[in-house]
Amino acid sequence: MSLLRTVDLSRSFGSLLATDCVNLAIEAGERHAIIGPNGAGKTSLLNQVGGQLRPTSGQIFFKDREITGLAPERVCKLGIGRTFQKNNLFTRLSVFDNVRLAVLAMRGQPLNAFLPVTRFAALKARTEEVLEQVGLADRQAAPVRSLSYGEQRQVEIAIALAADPELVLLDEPTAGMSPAETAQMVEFVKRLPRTLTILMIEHDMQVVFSLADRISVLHYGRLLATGAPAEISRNEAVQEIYLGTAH
Amino acid sequence: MSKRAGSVVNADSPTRRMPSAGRHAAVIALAALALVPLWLGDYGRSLVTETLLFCIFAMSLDLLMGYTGLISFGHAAFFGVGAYTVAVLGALFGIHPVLGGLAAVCLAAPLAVAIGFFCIRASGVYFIMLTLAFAQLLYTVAIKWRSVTGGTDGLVAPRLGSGTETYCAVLLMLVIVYFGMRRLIASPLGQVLVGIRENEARMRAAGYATARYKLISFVIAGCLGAIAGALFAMHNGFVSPAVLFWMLSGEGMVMVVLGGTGTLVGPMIGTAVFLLLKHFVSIHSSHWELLLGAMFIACVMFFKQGIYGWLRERWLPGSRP
Repeated sequence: MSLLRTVDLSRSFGSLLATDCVNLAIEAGERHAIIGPNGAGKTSLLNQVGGQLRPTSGQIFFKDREITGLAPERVCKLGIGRTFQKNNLFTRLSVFDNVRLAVLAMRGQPLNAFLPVTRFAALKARTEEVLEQVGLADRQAAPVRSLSYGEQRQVEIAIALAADPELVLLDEPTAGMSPAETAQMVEFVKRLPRTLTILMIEHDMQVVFSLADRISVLHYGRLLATGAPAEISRNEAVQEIYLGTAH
Repeated sequence: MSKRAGSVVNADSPTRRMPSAGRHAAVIALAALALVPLWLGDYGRSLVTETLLFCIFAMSLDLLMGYTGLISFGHAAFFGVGAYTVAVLGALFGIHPVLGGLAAVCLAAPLAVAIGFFCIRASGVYFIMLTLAFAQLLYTVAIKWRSVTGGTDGLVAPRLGSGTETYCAVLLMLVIVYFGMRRLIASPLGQVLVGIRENEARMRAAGYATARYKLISFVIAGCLGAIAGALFAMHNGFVSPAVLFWMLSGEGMVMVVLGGTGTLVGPMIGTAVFLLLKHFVSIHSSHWELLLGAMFIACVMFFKQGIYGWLRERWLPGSRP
């Protein structure tokens, strides 16, 4: 049984097919990368899984349960966390408060209107645990907007992980990062436990090949190929459209 | 006043505490307020009473505008419903205004659920226009339903008691609402509302059904707005459709922005400045709105944090990055 499965998933914007009959199966524990040229429909695909975008047709199954068209909050509660391509954070709040909000949604009492939020020890403990995990413990009091771009990417990841997801969707986790930050991020993702399944979009081929167990190639919304990194790098069609070496 | 002040406002630095000087100033200000009825005449006391009850109105609106990020242009709906409930129950059935006030909250809550249900589905300008539309709808009802509301003639409302008694009741209510809202804002629910203000899409991706929380905020604000309106009826002894007019909604927004959105003290300062200006400048000139407009523009352009934010910047330099 695949953890995540899309069946003939399609999404059109007017006459443009952003996603065109995509059949994708992600196995539990896998690190799966989606690559493809700009405009290939990678983020549209992720947004449909995450609930940010409704598919035009087709279905999405998570743990054999249909999640097609569910609202983002429902998808999150079912165990799919995500990060966004552009940092999408609570920029005026502190790092700690950002992560605490994510923890609160899943294991707090978000409807409690009477006790100070600081009174909940379990909330604080879990938040600190996540911050420790992503290496932001010493930056927790800083407002997010004062962080470097790379650090903000880490907060993105922290928010996604805070919800204890089984599947995490990473939309270009290293975009805009310096080489050093990228190397750190790769190390970080490598260290994540195999109980966590990762579906990521990534442009940096070095990152893709050092992390992914399998790679799927999207081109004009269509799934061109799926396979192990070695197969994908040998695939002629992929080379032609994506790596540009077949000319 | 021993705990953190405006902990969410100062989200930039969650550990900052209100300096003891500020705390003392607040306590002295409160004590001074409590003495006002002993020193001021009827007019002055009445003016302060009105200011205090509008402080409740402005704070309740700020829960939407400043904390949840919902710009309501129809908050007069709840103020007006609160005022009319007290007036109608008193005038038609001889019901005591305190019971009328309770009834006002009991009526405002389901009304806010109904109005909020539709409004929170929209966002941005559409939310603003929808709230305005609902408030104007109620305004029209107040004008047309003459047998109950007295139409444009208005309605005599039962007063709570003497001027001093009313003043004390309003002050007590303001203190209760202030500390209640402080608790709310520091609570998990308050943090969720701030999260929605900051980035609603992210909140949804983090697992929050934001519509539910926005509705809760709308209902709380509506109930508090109705309390302010009920107090207004008890204080004023007279209610007219003006309490439901869009102008009052707009004035509430000015009070909040003038004082400083996203704070509890700010709307109170804004209310005081607004009403005092209105009363004193309008004695000498018929163009007081001109001065108000200029102040409003200055606030929006140069003091984005409002008067309170500006004061804090001066007194606590470096407190805001």
